[in-house]
Amino acid sequence: MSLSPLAIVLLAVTLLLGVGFYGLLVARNLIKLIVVLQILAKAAMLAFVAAGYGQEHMGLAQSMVAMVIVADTVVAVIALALAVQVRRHYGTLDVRKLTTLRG
Amino acid sequence: MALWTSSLHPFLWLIVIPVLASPVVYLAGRLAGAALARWLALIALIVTCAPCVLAAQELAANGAATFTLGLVQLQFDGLSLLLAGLALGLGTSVTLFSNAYMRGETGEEKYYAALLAMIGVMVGLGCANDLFNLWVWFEAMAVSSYMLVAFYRDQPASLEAGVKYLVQSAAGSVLVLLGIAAVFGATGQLSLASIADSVRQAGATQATSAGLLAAGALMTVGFGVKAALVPLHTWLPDAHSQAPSGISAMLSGVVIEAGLIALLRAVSALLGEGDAVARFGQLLLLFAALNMMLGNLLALKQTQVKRMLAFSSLSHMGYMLLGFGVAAYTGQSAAAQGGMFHMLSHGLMKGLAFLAAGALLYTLYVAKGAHGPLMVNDLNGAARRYPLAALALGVAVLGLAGLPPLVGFMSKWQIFVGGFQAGDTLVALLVIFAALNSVLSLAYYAPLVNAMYRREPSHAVRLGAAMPPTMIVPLVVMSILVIALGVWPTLIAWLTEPAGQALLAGW
Amino acid sequence: MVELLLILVIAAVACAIQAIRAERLLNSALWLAGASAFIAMIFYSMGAREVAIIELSVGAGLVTVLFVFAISVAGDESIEGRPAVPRALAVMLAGLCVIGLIWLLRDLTAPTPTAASASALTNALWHERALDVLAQVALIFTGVIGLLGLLAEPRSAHAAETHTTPVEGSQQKIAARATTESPLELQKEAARP
Repeated sequence: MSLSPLAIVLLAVTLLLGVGFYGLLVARNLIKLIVVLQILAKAAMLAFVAAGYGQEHMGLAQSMVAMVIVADTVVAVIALALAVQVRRHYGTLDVRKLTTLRG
Repeated sequence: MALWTSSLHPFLWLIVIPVLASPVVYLAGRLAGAALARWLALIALIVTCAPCVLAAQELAANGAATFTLGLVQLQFDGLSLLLAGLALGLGTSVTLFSNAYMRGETGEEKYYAALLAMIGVMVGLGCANDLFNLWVWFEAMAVSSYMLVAFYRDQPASLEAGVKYLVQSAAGSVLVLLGIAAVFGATGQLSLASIADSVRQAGATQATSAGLLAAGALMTVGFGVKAALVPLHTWLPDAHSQAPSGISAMLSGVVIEAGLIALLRAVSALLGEGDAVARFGQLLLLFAALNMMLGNLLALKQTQVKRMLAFSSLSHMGYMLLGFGVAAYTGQSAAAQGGMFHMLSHGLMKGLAFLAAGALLYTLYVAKGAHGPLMVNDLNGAARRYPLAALALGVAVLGLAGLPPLVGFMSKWQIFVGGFQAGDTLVALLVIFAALNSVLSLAYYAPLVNAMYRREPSHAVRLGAAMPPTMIVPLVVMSILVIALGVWPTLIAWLTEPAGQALLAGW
Repeated sequence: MVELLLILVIAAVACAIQAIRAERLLNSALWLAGASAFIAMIFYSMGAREVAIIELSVGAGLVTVLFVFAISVAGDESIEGRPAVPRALAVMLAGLCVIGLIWLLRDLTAPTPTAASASALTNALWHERALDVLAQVALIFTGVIGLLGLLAEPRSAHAAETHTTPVEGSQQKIAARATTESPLELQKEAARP
């Protein structure tokens, strides 16, 4: 095997980003969209770990990843609360039906 | 523990007081009723103005101040002062304005707590001198604004705006993170100063420059979502028109500007010397043209007042980008100062416009428990019943259109002069384009004034409620500022000049 | 090391793809938990051990619970008549998480060449980058406020319903709004499947 661990993790970042952007485009359900945002954030965390590995600065990278995990969880919580309210007042989670605002 | 390596500088209080006041306000509101939260929030912001003045004096006397904790540094320079002054000034007006506007809403104390926290973290964002720290402040600002945008959680339109805002912001935030990771991977540094140093020294290897280019692109797009660079703007008209009017004023007046400042700070560190700055300038000029054109064209066809104002924010972001773009492209310091001046004047005018429109929305609809949008036709004859609010809205929109003795004219003028002095054909053409856009914008601002002053009072206006004095006070104060700074623009030079210099120092 | 990493990456990406393809939200959330678990293992094998534990407990654990909770409140809008795979899937993924956690914890107790990384993280987090932590505290606080603002049951509205203890004269307005809004609400209720 000539692949270095760094290359593999960067490959994972790229693939997860690809999957995530695909998901952003196709997801119709608001909660599914939040899942996609989580996947994207995980790609970013992996990128930090890869950078820390490359720079041999894992302590710093880990502290940043911990920050990202926490901040991202907070965002997910807010987003899910918003989704619950959307369902309550629209009767659906389909983002394509959220079309009150146009122009 | 040797954590506190320097004593507390006045600028730290700018962050600490609002952020600490936030839970106090929330608890006070829960335990003692929302009235206490309302006034405590206002008092906290007024108290914060004292260290702001001190920090400004210190900045003028001793230059940029820093505070270091561990390896992370906060630096208070001209740009931070501009953002802090804007956030605090507008925040105080908004808090006073919301006193009546938000009275009796469910979760009123949470509104004030989130508003205070947002102001505090925005000041922190302006001071951040470390790439990752910048992101943490940026994300905190975003998180505090999500709930404020979707504050009317029973209104479908408000929820829809909140969803769009959250999803796009979160996606942008991921791109910023990837950019930071790329910078960290390429240079091993996080502090903006050492990144800039290592970029200059390296100059250098192929892999590093590829990584930095990717990082610059990712961060431009990521922060660009918050700064509403066209085509990343689609969340803005919804969020800014559906949020409570005070929050619309904060979002349009400060938050998008904070996004732009974050973008400039982060990307500036990556540019190194030579061509890259000029190319970044060209990129900013491209976005400037797009923003001015699309913002104006879309604002033209709006029939809702707040939505029109939201689209006009896009075009004003374009004027600011023009100033900064010219500064980066040609090294014109006058244009950078003009951009900073316009950032300030736009915050003032757009804040005033949203507050005045909000005051009318309140008297015509909200005070009666209705939640309709404020249509242009609703303004018919408003000047007869609400002379002060109509005057404030008139002053604000004419200022935004750039009519002479108002501050909007002076700040645009400074950008245009800077552009012409640069002596570059492309820039000169863009400046002419911007001037034409400015004239075009009258086509949607003037009908507002016309409706208020020359039409017979509409049904809604005749039945409107009385306007509470706590709403009129901020409107009058801000209107006076819009006029006074237009007549004597040098009054504000102490704020815009250091900001322009701080920006140029990064290039 | 490299082979293991490659397998983990493939597994994580496969889980992510499944999370997007899954018809039912619950499956989607569980696949996300799976991706999170594999990513935690990647962290671990790259030497980011403490963060791997955090990711496994927060990313795969807490966030999944939040998703399941939200889905149970908001309802799973799935296409009817699909074969019910979730139970087997759930068991599999939960087992995977547990095995992964055991694997990590077992390995953590053994002395490793990078044993210093724990102190490196502590040092980075609490000393070198304490300012991030402070800003993060503000972020978490605003997040809590935001959650309460979006979901908390209104006290005053409840008071308006029962017509007891008025909260500073805001009743009338809220009651007025409630009456103006209720027809709309009823329509929406009726329109719901």
